[in-house]
Amino acid sequence: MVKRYLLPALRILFGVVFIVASIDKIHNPEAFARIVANYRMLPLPLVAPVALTLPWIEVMAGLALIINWCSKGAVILLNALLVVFMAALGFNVVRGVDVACGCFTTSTEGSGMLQSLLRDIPLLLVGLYLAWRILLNNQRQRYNRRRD
Amino acid sequence: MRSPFLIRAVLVQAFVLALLGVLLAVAVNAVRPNGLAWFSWRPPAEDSSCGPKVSIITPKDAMELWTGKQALFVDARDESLFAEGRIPGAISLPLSLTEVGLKLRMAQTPKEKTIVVYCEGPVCQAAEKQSNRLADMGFTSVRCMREGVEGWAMAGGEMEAGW
Repeated sequence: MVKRYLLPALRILFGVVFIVASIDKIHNPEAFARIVANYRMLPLPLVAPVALTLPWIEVMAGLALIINWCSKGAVILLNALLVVFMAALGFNVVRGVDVACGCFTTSTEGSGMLQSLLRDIPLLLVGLYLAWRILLNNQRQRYNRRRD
Repeated sequence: MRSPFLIRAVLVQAFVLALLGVLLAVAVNAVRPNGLAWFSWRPPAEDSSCGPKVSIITPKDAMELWTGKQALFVDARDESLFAEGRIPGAISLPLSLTEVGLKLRMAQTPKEKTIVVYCEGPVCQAAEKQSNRLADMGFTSVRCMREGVEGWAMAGGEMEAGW
């Protein structure tokens, strides 16, 4: 019973997290662009393209995961985004530069970079588990289809 | 897992989703009144404040206070950056300090003493946050030097390193 509902529940939860995370960034593109610029990891001409497209890619992948459409691509895309976010946070933690995370909100208040990085670890574990299960299920289905 | 079909399917799906995201971003940015310029957007040169209780100070004005030994300089960056290079005479109060730690280190400082807080440069937020913490502790003359050590060095300010 638990096993049957665990995968869809985690899939929806993971998708919802990314959609929720993107709402404020879509609503305040200027504020999010400033946060991206503050990371000081991108050349300035690339800041706006990244700040404008990233939240929509999160929305599309999150939505795809929720409705279980293109879920293989969605789960890999979201995991890749999460790894990139964590690398950017980690880079600034190591540099000792404290800038706003821009993870769930465009506000500059709130948790520090290290806390944000630590919060992303369980999320990544869920994402990796989902990727493993979704890709494995897909392989099994293909194998069963071939056998039938 | 090693099926080339699976890898291709994953890549194609991820590409399709990313492309849809980009197209949506382009469409929404085109119709919204406060859309950003795609490649020519630049961050504003400087935010105008450090909060209601803290006033801004330029590196030039800070230098005058420093020359006249009229202010306590507080370095809000990590201790490793403090050791690498700081304003001579500054004390290290990294943002990671707890409230208790901060109070202990500031216990001997009179509340009316002018304090200049700085971090790396205009984009770091440690100076803003730490100056507000100090103002909340009751220090009445806290200044935030937004340009940080970068601005200080560019204005010709002295630096020192080590412990």
